[in-house]
Amino acid sequence: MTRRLGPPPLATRWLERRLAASPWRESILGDLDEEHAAITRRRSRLAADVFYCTQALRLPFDQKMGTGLIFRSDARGKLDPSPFFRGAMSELRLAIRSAFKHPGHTVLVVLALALGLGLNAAVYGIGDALLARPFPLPGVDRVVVIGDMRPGAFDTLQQNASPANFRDWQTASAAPGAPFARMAAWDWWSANITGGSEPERVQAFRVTPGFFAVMGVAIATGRDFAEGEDTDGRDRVVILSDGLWKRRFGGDRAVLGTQVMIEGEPHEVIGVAPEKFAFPNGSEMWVPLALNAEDAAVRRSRYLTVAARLKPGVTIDEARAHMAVVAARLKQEYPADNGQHETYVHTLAQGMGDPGSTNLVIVWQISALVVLLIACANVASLLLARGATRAREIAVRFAMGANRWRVIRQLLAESLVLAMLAVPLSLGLAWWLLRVIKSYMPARIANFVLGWHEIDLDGRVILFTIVAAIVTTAIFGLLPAIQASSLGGNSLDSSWYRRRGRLPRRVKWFRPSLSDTLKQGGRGSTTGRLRLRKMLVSAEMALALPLLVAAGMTALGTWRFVNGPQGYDAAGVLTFRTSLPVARYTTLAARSQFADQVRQALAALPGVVAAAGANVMPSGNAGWSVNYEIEGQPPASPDTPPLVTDYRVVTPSYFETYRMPLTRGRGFTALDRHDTLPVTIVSESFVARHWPNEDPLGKRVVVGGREPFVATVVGVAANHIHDWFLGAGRPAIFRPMEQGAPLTQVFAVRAGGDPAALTPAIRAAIARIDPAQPIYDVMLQTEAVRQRTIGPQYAAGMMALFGALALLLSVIGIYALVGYYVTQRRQEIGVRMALGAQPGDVVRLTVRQAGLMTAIGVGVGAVAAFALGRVLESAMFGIAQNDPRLLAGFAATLAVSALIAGYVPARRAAAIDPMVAMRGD
Amino acid sequence: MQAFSSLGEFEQLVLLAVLQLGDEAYAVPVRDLIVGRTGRSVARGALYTALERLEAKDLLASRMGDPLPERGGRARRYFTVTPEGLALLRDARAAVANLSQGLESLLERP
Repeated sequence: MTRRLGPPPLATRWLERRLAASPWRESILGDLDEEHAAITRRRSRLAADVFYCTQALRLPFDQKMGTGLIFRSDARGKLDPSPFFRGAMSELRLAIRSAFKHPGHTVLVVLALALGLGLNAAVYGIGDALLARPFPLPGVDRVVVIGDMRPGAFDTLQQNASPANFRDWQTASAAPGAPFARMAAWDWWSANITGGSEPERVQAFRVTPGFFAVMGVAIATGRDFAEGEDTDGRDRVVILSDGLWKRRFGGDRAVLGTQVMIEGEPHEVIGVAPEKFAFPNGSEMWVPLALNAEDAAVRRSRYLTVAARLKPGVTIDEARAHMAVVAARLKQEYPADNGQHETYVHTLAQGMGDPGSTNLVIVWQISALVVLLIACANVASLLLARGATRAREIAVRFAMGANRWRVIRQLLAESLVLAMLAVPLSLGLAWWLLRVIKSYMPARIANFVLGWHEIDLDGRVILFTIVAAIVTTAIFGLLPAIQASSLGGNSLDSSWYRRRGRLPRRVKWFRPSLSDTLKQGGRGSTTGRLRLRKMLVSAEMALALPLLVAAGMTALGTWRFVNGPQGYDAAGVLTFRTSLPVARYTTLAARSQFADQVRQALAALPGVVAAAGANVMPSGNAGWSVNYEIEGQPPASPDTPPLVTDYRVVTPSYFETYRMPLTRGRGFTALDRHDTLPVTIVSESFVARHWPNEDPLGKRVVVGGREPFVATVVGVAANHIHDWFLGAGRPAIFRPMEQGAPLTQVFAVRAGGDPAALTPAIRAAIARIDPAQPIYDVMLQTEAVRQRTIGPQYAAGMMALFGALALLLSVIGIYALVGYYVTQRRQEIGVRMALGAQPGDVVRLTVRQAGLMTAIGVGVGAVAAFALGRVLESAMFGIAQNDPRLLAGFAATLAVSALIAGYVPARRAAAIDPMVAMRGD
Repeated sequence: MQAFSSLGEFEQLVLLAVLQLGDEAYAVPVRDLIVGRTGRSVARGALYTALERLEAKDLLASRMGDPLPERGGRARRYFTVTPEGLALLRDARAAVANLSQGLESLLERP
């Protein structure tokens, strides 16, 4: 027997309470129940629930029912909805009617609010995904990241652990009293996967067994890594992501147990991760992290990320206390490697979150709030204007005995209805904005923006928008409501009342201001209202100018950067990457031979002007830097941090291909071979750092690392920008490919015609050299720069949007206000013109109003804008620059727009016919 | 002759519907019948109020049925038209018929 699904219990209980003492209780509840069941059968459960809830809410308020016998039959009055509630319902009804009675006004207000609210909803959606829950993992708040950091070092937020420290932490945490249920480590990896279809480069991670347990996910198909599979020899197993499994293996379960070639080695597929699990960084494949005894004993180099899952009931502070003890012991045992470091325990979001995006999102949210405030000021101004035309209606209400609270409540209810009407519209806008924002992000970068894939218009955003709309109502609705209910500035408890003591309610209409208002036909006194509105418009401008300047700074700075000189010629260059498996390209000779073959094959393609290989490319998503010393300039003390420089391994044709000028000495040639003198070309910034007044040629640089070498400087290259974040002044040294060919190689092709058209020919050429070798990240150099600077571009795009909306809203504000001023003063203007004022005088008089407001607004705004500019300068890492000309330009733009907005209604004022105007209404 | 001024048009419809339904007259089918035959929309609240008022005027009598599982264990409230109610309906009908005499050409639907 199936269980009967009754109506929603909450609604039932609510209605039961309303009907508690009614003789109709049984039959009404039963009837609704019966109809609920019928609708469920006929249509759907949802339709039935909606029906039931509407009826439950409606019945007690039905006008006939409310005054009828059923709901009044309760002697204790319990059934009657509270008088407050009933009052609120009637106010809401009135407010809705009023909203529909003035569609023009309503549309204006709703549009302005929807713009402001929608913008905020979208930014909240981004912030919520990026900052509040960047990891869509079950029980993610129980996962902590553990790592070492050196206080004061640049990489304070990098989460690092050395293999030996990890093992010691793991051992210490296996004790029964330890706070961790499981601990795991992982290391960045990316691998070529071959066999079957075309070879492919896949984002992968090497993880210790227990990784999936720490992350709280179970393998969907197949099995997890077993203990011991992280030892050499047993580690040829792989777990695929759901996406990779479906894309490359057609979602076929038969792939389990088969061998796939990864980096040229056969790996057995043992499992498939659950759908959508792509942690970390959009990983598509996981293999065991197998370290040989030598690697496992490394304590100095910290390249692992370690995470652990807390035992139930254990707090993060207990975990910190535990790790402090463990770390202190390791510090004592290994002072050389651990002495300088502190061990921290962070939540996953703290430990792996991106501090940069926090700042950015906060800046966006503040900007969006400012736009909302401007919209609120506009709406408040509109409501104030409306309050003026409604003065008579309100006076009548007072005369009928309404108290001030009641009138304010009514006006607030109207504002609330307007705000609620704006909510669906703003959600639509937010949905659209989020879609646009998401579509602009390159897929390969999206994986590295934590939480990017979680950006969505979900229940939390909707809730936020509704709450924001309610709060907004108080901001824009309260002032006009107080103003309108005060009837020309005389509040109800004026001294006139106090002097006469308590008066009966009925006498209230004797108040002079009230009867004046009634007599004046509702025009009432408007000076106070107008002053308020002027202040609002000035405030709008004062808010808009800083936003405009900030938008201008970021947009201009980013545009200049993306399109400005990079130190090389990005146009017409196509680049791609390839990663050689170490198993087949073990020797330097094999790697440099591959690079040379590819370069030659590329150069031979029709349409190719020049081709080059390198270890990393400018604005690529990788960097490579090395520690070095200058020969003859030993470090001052062992405690000085080692010198670091960018490290580029390039083919001789590199400078020609990128059109990167050499300013001194020579370039690399085919004669710079692995068995000849190690040579290097250094950047001008490198020369400036070490030999500002000397000839750098012939100097020798000692480069550290796994295979140290000493290289002689043979040339100097102009500075170029490798990463916008670091700017153009970063020192770099170049090395010939022959002398240091790496496993991951990038190639650049300068084409005579359209470089993108070369892609198929390039793929074919590589396949001829090594058919198992995939190429990836094929893109134009200009696209690489665009993608690399996506962060500032987003910042600029959003700021530009905020700035444009702020400008638009404040100009509309001034236009509406001057228009209102003209309407209110028709008679006065008519009298002036009848007495001989010229149209020019009228225009001047009117525009002066706009001018004064603008001057105040822009003046205050300029100060704020300058301060904000200083903040932005540091937040945007030098891309945005505080430029007084920009400030002056935008101040002028705002002022001119405002004056034009004021001039249009002023012309209308000048065109008034004095005879018509004086006749009044 | 009884005063029929207290019997509104909607109340007449309710009484007629209760008569039509016989033993099965409770609020849900009463409402369905009125909606179905007249094509008017009937608010539930209005129907309950009308039923209550008609019962207070002794034109309707009601009794509770047995608790039914399809109603969540609640009983139906069945209505029957009292002799007074029936008399009032007859009067109203006769009044309408008398006043309509000779107006057939105007009142009949073409």
